Amino acid sequence: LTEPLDVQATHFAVALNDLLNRTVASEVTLRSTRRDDRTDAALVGLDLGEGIRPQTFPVATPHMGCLHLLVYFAVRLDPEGVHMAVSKSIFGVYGVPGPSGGDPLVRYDYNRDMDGYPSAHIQVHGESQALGRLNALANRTKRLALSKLHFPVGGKRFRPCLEDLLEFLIVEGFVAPVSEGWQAAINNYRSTFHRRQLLAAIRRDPDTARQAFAADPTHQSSKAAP
Amino acid sequence: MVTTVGRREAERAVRAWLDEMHLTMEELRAEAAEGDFRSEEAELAWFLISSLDLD
Repeated sequence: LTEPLDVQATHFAVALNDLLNRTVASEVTLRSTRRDDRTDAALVGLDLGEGIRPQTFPVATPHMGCLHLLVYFAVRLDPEGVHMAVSKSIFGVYGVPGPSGGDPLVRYDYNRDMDGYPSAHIQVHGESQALGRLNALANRTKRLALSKLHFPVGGKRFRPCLEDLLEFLIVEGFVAPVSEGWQAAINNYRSTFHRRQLLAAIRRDPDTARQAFAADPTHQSSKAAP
Repeated sequence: MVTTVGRREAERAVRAWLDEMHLTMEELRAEAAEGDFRSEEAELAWFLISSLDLD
């Protein structure tokens, strides 16, 4: 039985809250928000604040005060109208409450309908001496800025997930984990994401999945066993 | 639990936000087509607008 998008998006928000509050955040509550005249599209993230704008939430850092995270997913039902699919997502790491307050350190973006740029990409806000030299050598009328580059990461199916970003923040020492079980939480939810992506890939390309099974001697022998 | 926003309320809020940034919807659409936004805030505004089909 197909569950309405509202139900699927709410389950998704509950799982995200569990992930965030076992790893980097305290009492963060993401919800599903949609237009009152549309039931086929929703936004999962913090409640949109005053003036309907995306909001960030703080995460504790051991040495440098606070960082702020921006986490939003735009979700819709897939073309068959059965499974919830993420059409866009945006994860940003800010030094001050953003996004109006300043540029992020890094942003992980995904837009499945992106034209001209990789649908999954990372934008890094910083200075690059190498890029500066290239700009000077090329005598460009419009200088390339590091923050404007869309570094490709994995495409639609195999893009980085929120769990990867949270793990990065912890292992690089930006954020102190809020529980001893942070790595297990990340591993569990990341496995779920990878399984869901693999299922979607198989649904879209069953012939390749059949070829993989046919070529796998382990699978052949387990099929042959009584 | 699902939060809902009225379409007109959302459109009004978006217009006010764009006015604060001295940006029209047409300019924002053009920046989105180029993938080159004038600011982080403009890019976030486009994410919200396109996600809720307010464009």
